[in-house]
Amino acid sequence: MAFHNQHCKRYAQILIKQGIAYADIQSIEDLHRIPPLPTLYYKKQKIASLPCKKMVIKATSSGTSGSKSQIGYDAKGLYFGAHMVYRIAKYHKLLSSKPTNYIILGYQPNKENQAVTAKTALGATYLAPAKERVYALQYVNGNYELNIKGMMKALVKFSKQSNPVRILGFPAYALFLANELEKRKRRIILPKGSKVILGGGWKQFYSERVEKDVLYQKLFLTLGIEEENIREFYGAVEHPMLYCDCKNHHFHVPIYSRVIVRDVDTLLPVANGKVGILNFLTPLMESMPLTSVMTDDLGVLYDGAECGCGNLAPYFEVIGRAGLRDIHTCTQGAEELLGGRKK
Amino acid sequence: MILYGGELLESSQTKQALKDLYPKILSTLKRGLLPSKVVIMACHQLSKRIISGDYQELLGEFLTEEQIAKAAQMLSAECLVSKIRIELGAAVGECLPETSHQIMPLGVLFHIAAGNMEGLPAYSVIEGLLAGNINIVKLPAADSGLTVRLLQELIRVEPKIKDYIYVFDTPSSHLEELKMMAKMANGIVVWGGDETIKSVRNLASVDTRLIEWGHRKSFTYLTKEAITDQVLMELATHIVTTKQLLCSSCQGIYLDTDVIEELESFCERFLPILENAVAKEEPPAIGTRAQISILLYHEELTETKGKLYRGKHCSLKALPDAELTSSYTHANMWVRGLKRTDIIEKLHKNKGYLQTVGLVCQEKEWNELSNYFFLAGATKVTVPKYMSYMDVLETHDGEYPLRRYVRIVNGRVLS
Repeated sequence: MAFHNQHCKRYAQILIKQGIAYADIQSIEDLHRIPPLPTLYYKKQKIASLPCKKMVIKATSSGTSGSKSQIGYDAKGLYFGAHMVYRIAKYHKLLSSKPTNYIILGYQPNKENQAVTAKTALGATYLAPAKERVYALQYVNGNYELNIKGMMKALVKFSKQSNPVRILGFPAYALFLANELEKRKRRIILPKGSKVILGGGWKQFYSERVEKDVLYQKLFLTLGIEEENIREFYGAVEHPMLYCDCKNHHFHVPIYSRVIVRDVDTLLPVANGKVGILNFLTPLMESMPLTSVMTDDLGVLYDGAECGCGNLAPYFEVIGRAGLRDIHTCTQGAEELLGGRKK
Repeated sequence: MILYGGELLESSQTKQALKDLYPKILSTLKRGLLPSKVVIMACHQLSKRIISGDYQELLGEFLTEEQIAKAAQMLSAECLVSKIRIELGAAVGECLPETSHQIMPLGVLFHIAAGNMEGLPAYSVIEGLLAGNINIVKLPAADSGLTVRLLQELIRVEPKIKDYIYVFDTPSSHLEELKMMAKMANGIVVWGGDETIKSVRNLASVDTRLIEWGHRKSFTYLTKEAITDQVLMELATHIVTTKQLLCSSCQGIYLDTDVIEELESFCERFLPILENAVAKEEPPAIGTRAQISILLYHEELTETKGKLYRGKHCSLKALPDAELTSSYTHANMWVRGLKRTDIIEKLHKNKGYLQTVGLVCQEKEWNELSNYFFLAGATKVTVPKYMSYMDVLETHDGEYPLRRYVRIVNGRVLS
């Protein structure tokens, strides 16, 4: 906060307007007083604490709500971030030296696509050395094409090899893959040590969302991957932190960040166990004031001991999204494509 | 669930149903016109059954008593005959008075239906039928099931109509299927906001008529002398009952002033009245409340002008400009100053969006002020409590819909 106050005029003005000074933050208990910036802020305003040339990586959010956050990361922050990813992946036993075949249920990276989800999926293929990568959405002549045939072929091919397979991507795509296999009445058992790593939430497929246990069961029945080998990541372009679920599928908060849940009406912190808006804090980046970010996600924070996995750090659960889902206005102009409403 | 030629099919059968649809449509067209009388009598039967309570269980789930009574009235023969007489001048297949110009249906209408008012997609189809058209409907994502059930009842009353109604629950993301529907249509009736209309314009081929019922904005205009607690209570009731979700819902309040202090004292007076009205309704869903709080907080971080007045589950913001903006809905609205002499100048740029003005003024000022609003582009001026009240023979945003669903053909009439 102090760094951004010094290097970002706009942030300094926010602190003044909110009546918060550096001296007001004395302990962990004071963290909630750091004014959180809503993700909407990064979509509408330009805010930076370092010049553009120092942003080594630029990324955008997925734009589920119609507009995208434009975020830049600095070299120092990325260096710290790499350490964080390494330690978290190691803790969760996701690092491996075995050459691994990857099926990425997402976009094949190209320089036109800056979505953070494409970058994260590619990044995740470095947790174990990649033998081969097959993408569900292939970049062909300037367009993305769904590569179902290629995926099926790859699954069969990989199932005959001894190398483990990792399937990475959105839960919705994993569900579609399992459904496709079910439809074709195929069960392709993948080699021992294979994993499914999910991330990115349900996005525009929210209405097709199924409970975790249903998805895990389908993945087991179609690919032979057991629940303990199905892991989930949580993160956001505005909060470049890697949350990986524990064996009980809970996202514990690592030492690199803090999570505050805020009341939906007053935005004041609520007690653990109560639903509210998820607010993430981390000092990781100098590039932009990403110190305290208020997401559009609704969630609950629980005491770590309630999990039972042995990790005593508090954990959060995402239970929905703040949004005008029940709003049917026609003056908002932000409705889904063709989802007309009126009068 | 799909309603296809009177039969209910599973959504998974959409692809095949669409493949078979075009030959079916051609064969229906070959059979000649669907007489308006058949549609009117079927609707009248439905209306009588609604009045006698036959559909109480079905309708009561979605509509209030008042809305049910209104639906019955709108479907009565008396009302539909008047609608045809006013909007078309003659029934489909007949000649316009003193001419040999004959009214013919457009042919096939593809309705991209609205979801913000229960039963509206079904009524859109009935309008299409009155004009003699075959109707393909894409239901909104949030459709409750009422549309299919009502149209199914209509077909049950008059089976001749079955070949004129095809309702699909195809999601908006299934573009190929939507393109197939669009390709068969002579006209696309689209209800929705700018983004929807832009998407449909891309979807439609150049030879297809687009009938766009786009998004609109409504507001109230108050002159100082006419403001009473009673009027403010009625306005607050309108705001909380429509949740500011309809095109005709008040998005914000203009006062006939350019003094910011007057806006502020108005907010102080109106906030407790609004809060009181809000307390009588169920609070919005948690996701909606979160979103509104985030939007208000974001505004606090980014906006330098205006003064926010927060109440429980509602807010008012006094703003120094005269822009016409959308509200954050659910009783979160703006209050702005707009001198009567500036009405046309300031509002005309919104001409394509203006719909209803809830006017509060002295009787002698009514004509002068309402004229200003009509000249600026508004299509309805009324008192706040009737802003979202739809008269049975009312226009859609200043137009008669049936006129857009027909063609006037020229030909020698042999009689």
